[in-house]
Amino acid sequence: MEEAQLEQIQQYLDGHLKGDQLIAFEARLAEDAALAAQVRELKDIDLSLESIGVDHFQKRMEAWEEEHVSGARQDRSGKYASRWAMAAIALVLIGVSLFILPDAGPDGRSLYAAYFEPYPNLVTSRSEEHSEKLIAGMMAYDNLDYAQACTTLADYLVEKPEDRLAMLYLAIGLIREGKHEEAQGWLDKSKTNTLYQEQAEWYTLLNLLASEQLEEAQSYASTLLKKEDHYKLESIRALYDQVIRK
Amino acid sequence: MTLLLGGFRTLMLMALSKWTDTAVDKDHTLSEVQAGNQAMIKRLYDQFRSEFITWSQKSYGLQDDKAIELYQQSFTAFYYNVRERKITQLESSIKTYLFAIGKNKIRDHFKKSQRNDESLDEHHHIGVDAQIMSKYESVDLSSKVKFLLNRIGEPCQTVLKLYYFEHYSMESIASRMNYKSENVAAKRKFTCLKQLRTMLSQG
Repeated sequence: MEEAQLEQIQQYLDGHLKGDQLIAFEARLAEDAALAAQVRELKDIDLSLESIGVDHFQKRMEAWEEEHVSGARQDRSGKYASRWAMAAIALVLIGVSLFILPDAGPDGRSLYAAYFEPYPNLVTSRSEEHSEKLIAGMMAYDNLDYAQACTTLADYLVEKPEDRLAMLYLAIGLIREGKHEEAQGWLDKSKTNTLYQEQAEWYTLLNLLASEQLEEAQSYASTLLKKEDHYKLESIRALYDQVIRK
Repeated sequence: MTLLLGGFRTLMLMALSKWTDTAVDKDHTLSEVQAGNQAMIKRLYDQFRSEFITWSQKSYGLQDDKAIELYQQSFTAFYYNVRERKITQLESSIKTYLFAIGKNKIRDHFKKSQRNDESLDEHHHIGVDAQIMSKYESVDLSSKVKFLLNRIGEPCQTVLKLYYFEHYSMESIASRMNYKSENVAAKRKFTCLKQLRTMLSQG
């Protein structure tokens, strides 16, 4: 297929042919079976890409649903916590202190799900030049396609092994993929840049919870609580209280 | 505390609902969705989700999972109808339009399960295009194209995803990819499609 003809077909499919050009093209299309076959071929590719786009949008909605489910779980755990607190006060009031009620607090994984939010993309929102691999990795990250983000960002880090911010995003992707040890390795490296230290600390805490290392999480949260100006201090405190209740 | 937060969230959603449904802002919302503003799209998804699910459960006895599935199908149809400019203005509210799509989806669901529901027939006159997926039914290349898209390499993968998944304009693609102009972006997209076509023909 000639380049010019291919380009004209694509313009037609994209709706960019107007007026006389469109009329002339459609007249040719009605008479030329070979051209009609070429249009069908390119239209099939176009429609395939669009239908993959629809699948992609539906996956994104699934991720939004996951947020609703983990939000509801957090609400429920909050309600349970309130009920236990009221029960405890009632028991104190009537002087019954012989029994300690077991706490039905959430597990580490639920706490992680309730508190996890992907760190915002600070890379491609900046108007500086970036490598194509980094742009592709961050785009996958934005689209919650963490498997793809991990692969591409790991590739990018082979080229730019000192990019601590990319390490942070890679670590977050690995946490979402359940690769906790690998994630921790990248978080430890990312922490060595003071700009991203607190973010890496916060995701380290979430990583410990996601991998059900509750004692380590409690001890780590306790260390972080000493940093009174930590950007996640309130969340760390809330998590610490909930881990202790375990 | 949870109750307070819950109350605050409800008030915010009510305020947001009022905001997105005023005549002036409704058009603004549609144009933001059309432009691919993901924050706005998610906000709309969150805004109508609970009400749609409760309504479909109370009115039609749907189970949780089915109600969520039909909400997602309805929201997809709404989103693509806006994206493809099948609707650019609405005489009714966004909610009325979305729920009208939902009624069609629920009717289709019951037709498949052989249930006749008169309460659905009364909404038969609402003209909304809820069959967004039907045009893709005859396409059998999708799995091959998906496979090749993961192997086409950069920048083609990102350019094609930005255009077909995120519905970026050529101008936005140029800005995102640091291209000099939208013509450069359009040329790049064309080259990438040509490359994909060659890969397909090589089997």
